[in-house]
Amino acid sequence: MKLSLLTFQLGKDFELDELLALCAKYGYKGVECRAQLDHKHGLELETTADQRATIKAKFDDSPVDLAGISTSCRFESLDAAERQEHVDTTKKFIDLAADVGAPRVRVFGNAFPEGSNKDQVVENVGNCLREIGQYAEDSGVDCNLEMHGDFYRWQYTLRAVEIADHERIGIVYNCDSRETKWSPISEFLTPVAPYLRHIHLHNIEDSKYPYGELFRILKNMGYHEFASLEAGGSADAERVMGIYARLFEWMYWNS
Amino acid sequence: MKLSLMTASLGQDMTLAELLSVTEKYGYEGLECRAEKGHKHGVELETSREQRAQIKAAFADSAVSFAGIACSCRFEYPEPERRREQVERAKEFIDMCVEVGSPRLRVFGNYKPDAVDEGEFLEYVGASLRELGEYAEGSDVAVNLEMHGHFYRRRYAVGAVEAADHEGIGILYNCDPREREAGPVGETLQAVAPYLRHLHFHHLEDPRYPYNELFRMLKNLGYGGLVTVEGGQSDDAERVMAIYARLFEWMYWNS
Repeated sequence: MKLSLLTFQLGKDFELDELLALCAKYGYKGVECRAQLDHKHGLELETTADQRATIKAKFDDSPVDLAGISTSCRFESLDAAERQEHVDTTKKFIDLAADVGAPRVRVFGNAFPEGSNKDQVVENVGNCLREIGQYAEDSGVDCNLEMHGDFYRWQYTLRAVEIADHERIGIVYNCDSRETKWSPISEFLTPVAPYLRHIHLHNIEDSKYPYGELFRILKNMGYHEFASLEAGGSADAERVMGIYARLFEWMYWNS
Repeated sequence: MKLSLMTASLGQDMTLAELLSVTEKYGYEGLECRAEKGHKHGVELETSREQRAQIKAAFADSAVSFAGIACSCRFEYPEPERRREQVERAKEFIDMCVEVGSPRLRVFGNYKPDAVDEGEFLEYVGASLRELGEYAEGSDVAVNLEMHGHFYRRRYAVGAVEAADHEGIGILYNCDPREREAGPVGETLQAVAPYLRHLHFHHLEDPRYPYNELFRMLKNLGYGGLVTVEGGQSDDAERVMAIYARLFEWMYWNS
């Protein structure tokens, strides 16, 4: 399994050059750029063709991979036009990912609107994902649904991805401590394993989520892809990144 | 082995109440207060009787024990009157330890002046220590010479403590990467083991010092005492403390 850094909070104030330098220094194998939040890395839909080529070249010149682009696109809306807007934005992100060399894009199902029929929302999400999968078919870019919001429950995420029924559509497992109130985390991981393409870790020092158990399960599954650290922001970001990388190493190899 | 926190830099901006609260929260079993630096904990020679009683009561009411006071007293000076000042000050710290309930006091040998012969140097550092050991008799306060400055060399630390020849005088091992010039850290640790009373770690994530080797050695030596994290200052101190506590746990139990 390869550690990467998601710039959601920790790392959001670093420019791309700084991120690449720090990740290389502390042993992160990848960077996952959170888009649509104006983070300093500058990887956004608005980047020009030239800027995209520059971003791609920087990753090509670095030992650190572009692990993916995380978008805010979500398909929960009961309004078909609104869902279509998000689908169209995601397609633009697929193009961006292809241009900069990102192998994956993260999207949300997200939260059930109040009073909605859950089966209908899940079906809507699945249909959106299928359209994106078809669009991404020859792009070399996967689109992964994150187990985020109400979709932390594996049943919703799995069903939406099964409805999408497209090889470009996978799942980001999200280390959500709410799982532990239902059952051991293995009962969440096992059903989604066939579609597991990426993982988001959070504050790995926090004992509310059993990271040791996660790492054992992932080793047993033979999961060798990226796990992105999506940790809270810090006024001492480089130091915290350095200690987290070391903690991950000890936890992963000793679990 | 019990983890404690030293306020030398990480934690220097927290009050005693804050320190006791965060150390307990993250599983530190002790707190070592660095004095003479104007740190916010307020454990200083200038404290009044009433303040000392309050400090003692704060520890007595806490799950976190008083690991010690670390002072700046040093016995490197060739001029007897300057050493005398330092010895007298260290005696005041011993009195203070008694009043606040601290079981140990850290002192320095520090740097050997170029013009002074090594044997003579160790003899007068040892004599200062012996005087402190005699002064502390009956007090339950141990005085420990830190392997700091030139005393990172085992022959200095052991030489001075053997010259002191007093059961109240011990050694505080300091995890100094410079030791490796002279061989594996195990060789230094073995040499000082008969006098080992306390340890200071620094940045646990820093691979320049082989902490895992240290932990294995300490387990083999049967060392069950305190170890103190003396991590660098941070603008995100509580977070760094939390991650260090977790990192220590993983490193120690898996080494």
